[in-house]
Amino acid sequence: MAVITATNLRKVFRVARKPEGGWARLAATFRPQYVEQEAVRGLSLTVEKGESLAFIGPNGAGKSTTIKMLTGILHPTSGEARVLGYVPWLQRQQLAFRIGSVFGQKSQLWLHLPPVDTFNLLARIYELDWSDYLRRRAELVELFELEDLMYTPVRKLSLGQRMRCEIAASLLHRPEILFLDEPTIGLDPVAKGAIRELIRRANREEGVTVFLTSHDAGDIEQVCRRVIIISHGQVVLDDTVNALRRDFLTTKEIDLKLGVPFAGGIDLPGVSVVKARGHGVKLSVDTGITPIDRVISHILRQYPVQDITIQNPPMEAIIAAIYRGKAVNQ
Amino acid sequence: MSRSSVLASPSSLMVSGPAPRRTSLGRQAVKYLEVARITLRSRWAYLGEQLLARVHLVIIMFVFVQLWRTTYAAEGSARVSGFTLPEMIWYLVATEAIILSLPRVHAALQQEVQGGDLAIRLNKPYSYLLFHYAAFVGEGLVLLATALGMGGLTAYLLVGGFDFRWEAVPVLALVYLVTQALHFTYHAAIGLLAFWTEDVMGIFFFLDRVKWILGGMLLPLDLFPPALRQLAEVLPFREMIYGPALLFVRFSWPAAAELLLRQGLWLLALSLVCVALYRLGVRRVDINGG
Repeated sequence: MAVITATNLRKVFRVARKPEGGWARLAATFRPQYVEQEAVRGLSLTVEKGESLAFIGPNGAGKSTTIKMLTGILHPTSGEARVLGYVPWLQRQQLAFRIGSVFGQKSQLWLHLPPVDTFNLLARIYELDWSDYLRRRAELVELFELEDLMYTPVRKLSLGQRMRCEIAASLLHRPEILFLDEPTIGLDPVAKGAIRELIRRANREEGVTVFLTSHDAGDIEQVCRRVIIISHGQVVLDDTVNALRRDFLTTKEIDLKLGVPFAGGIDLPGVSVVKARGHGVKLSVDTGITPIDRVISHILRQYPVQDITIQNPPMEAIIAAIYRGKAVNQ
Repeated sequence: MSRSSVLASPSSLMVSGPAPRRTSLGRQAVKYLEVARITLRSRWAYLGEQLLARVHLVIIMFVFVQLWRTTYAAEGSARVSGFTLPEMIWYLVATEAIILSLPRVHAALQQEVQGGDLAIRLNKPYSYLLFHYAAFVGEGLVLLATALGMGGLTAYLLVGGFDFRWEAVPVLALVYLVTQALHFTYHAAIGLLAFWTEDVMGIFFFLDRVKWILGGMLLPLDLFPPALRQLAEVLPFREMIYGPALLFVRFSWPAAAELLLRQGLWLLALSLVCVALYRLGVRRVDINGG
């Protein structure tokens, strides 16, 4: 059953143009000039109940604009959409009872008060039965390990702790769809892992449909089964995460801090040196050719290693690879 | 589902979809009362800072007491335009308490509209304006307590008390709430202009000072020149400052009834303006990016 459908969604922003020079600026105060920016260009998609969808793309691709149209915050310039049967921008309050949302860069928690106060407020806002709410809160506190955080003012929480509270707060009213906009932004790798695990559990154990936007490829791999990549407001790829992993996420980057200066000698197929300076070296590894564990053991045999970080290539590089792949196929 | 029912056009006001959720008035009230309560608690957490910020009121009151003492001495009369000196000073306490108990809702709205925090507000099942009104009331009550406390204590120490009608406290509380609602609609309407203009602070500064002057913040309207008094008569500011402050120092039941009626009419008019601005503005939301 489809819970989200969008057809030819389009959003054009009118942005005031600031001319250079004092007189021109003064004139623009009385006769402002606008330029149009097309953030979303005829986007269509369908999301089934229980899916975990990564909706990703580079900065300015239209991810956040789409999520804001699907949650009723923005009115599209044209196009159609239904979320749980509602037209989001016309039935925003009705829809709000059945969806949850987390905006990584915006907080719904009251800064000067402990999270428990915001939770109580949300229980009233979502009109929850009080005893049901208390049971649900206890469940989430246990699942998200919030016991020690619930009575600490939000301003004293770390970003990772705050984000755990944000997501728990968004699940209080048992939403059928959870919209997450960059939920791992600014978090350290440990906190990112914890947040991804919690979102995955909400999806697998509670059946919450997850609609996640991010420009972090790790979010896709570890949370979602399906991925839609958009660029310049249009869908450029709609596939399973497994297919993406097979076709486009075959490259990993390894950052090394060695105990001695780098002197070359990592001659494995599919491994190339991106950057090397003194004790530091960055490698690009095509895991389809040489698995990552073989590369690491090869390095450890040759060098003493002080620090090692393995990461996905930036989203921009993945998008570029997708474009290249399409061009080759055509 | 017809195509026209979901198109993003102004004509698409009739939409099908799941049956709307019915919410009792009681639950709605509890929702907004909780918003007011949490805002009050949030402000109360910084009561010390609030009281410190009110110290300037002691200086203002001291200066005004000296000025009015000189004026009364020059007049050679115990009354000026019907006010005794303590009444005049307590009138000032009331007007200052009203003005200083108004949270900066215009700035909050501008910040939300232009900074993108609107996304957090609009995805909750409540009315955006009522949410802000509830928060305004909660925060305003803490501000009122500190302003009235500090101003009242200073006035009492400098000029003594006046013939306050304690039995009128419930009515005065009601008048204060309506007064606060009137100010909310005025400030919120200015804040909502952020949907159209980049900076509402300049507009607010001008319109707020107009309100102060024509509302009788520093001087009762009885002392105004006739032309200015006539102008003040047809504007809402009289009901926002002068009316409630006068009732505070010279309470009468007929005056209270008349004031509440006039306030009610202005509240209705300004609320309609606010709702219209919000409905027109929210369609123009331009939160681009994350």
